[in-house]
Amino acid sequence: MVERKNEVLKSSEYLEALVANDSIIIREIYDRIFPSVQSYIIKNGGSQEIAEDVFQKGLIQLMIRYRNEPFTINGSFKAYFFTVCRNIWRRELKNSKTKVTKDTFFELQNEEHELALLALEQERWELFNEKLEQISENCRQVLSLYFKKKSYLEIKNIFNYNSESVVRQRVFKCKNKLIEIITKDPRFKDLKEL
Amino acid sequence: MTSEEHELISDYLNDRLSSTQIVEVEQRMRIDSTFREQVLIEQQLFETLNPDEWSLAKNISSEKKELYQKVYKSKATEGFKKTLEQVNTEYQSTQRNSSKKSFKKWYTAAAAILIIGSLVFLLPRKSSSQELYAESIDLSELPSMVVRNTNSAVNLNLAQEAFEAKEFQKALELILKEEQITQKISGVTLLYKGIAYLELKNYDQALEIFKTISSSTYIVSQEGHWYKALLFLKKEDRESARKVLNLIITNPNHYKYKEAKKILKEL
Repeated sequence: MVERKNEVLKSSEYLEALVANDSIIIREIYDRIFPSVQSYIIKNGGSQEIAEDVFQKGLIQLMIRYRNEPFTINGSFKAYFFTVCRNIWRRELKNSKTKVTKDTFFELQNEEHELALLALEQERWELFNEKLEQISENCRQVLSLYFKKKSYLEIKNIFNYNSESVVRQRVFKCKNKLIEIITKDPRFKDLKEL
Repeated sequence: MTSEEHELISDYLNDRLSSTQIVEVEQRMRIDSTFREQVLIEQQLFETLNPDEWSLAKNISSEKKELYQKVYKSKATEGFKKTLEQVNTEYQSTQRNSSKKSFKKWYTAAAAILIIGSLVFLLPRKSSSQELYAESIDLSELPSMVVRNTNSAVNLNLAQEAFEAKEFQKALELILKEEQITQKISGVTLLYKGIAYLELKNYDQALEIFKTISSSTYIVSQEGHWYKALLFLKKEDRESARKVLNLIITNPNHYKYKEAKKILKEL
């Protein structure tokens, strides 16, 4: 146990350890990653208790997804898991803005339903971002601004386009391309809204 | 999709339409499934690719959702959640203790200077084994037995309180009661049980427990060695204490490595 302290496991080894309910590796995950998640959540309006809940929800989510169907992580487990936790916190904020208060969020009536949705939302986020990486650099930059709700005029000025109409055409073309490759991916079938 | 439709959807999602136009768009969404799909995916793109937003799954009805719910409800997930609660409690407790320790450093240093100043004229002497035990045992650094988010462990809550009040017999009885009800015991609670026996001078029972802990995969397995060493000190069994302490100092990452080194010098 001690000898492993200085050795970083492969992402798949962490995921397998979650499925195996290995408390030693889970403790390692806490030692390595909890401080970053805690710091992020507290800086962004959360509390220590919320940070602990988000971290636990993140681990449960990964365990459920991996148990259902093993998947691979590109990059480090730490970076990936931090993103999962950050997204859970984004979800909490969105929920608190729309219908549920922060206090009640953690006492969900139907936890398995919420956890399943959370896992699917994370997978949708991963699919969309993966596809965004596959379109051209220019399209990616234009769409990133467009989805952040920048106006056509602002985008025109950033890229030095001749007119807003050029921007409209560019957005239209790039967005259609992105939607096309997302909807063609077989994973989208399980993630689409009805 | 035409560029006009693209503009219409974009205006709809960015709240740039009049109430009449909104009604028209929503009416069309009800009767035109292709148009509805287009609006929904564009909405998801806006929410997913904007870092200040999040795309909530509102109406996903896939087989995968059912599968995830099934896995969540399984016994394996129940066990996993229990492990997470336990590891989290132990981890947070360690964090609190380490921050307390750093706060105490200056205070300890000042106190040490005072003590050294007043005792400097005395000849150095070896500490008694019992003294070393009293100096080394620090019950405040133990992780809490009580796991957050569970309301079933009433006995453990009371045991924790009794333990903190140094009412070891009472704490032990409550732990045994809980163990009898649940037919299981966590590593941390087992450690408390061992220490309660130790404080009550029931050395055989305590030693048995510390041996179990140190040879287990519990998070507190290393604490098992440390408390075994403390037990031998309390019993004035210097030779056995030395053996265990020598084991602890074989690796600087071991729990209480520095303290073990210090005690060995004193023995």
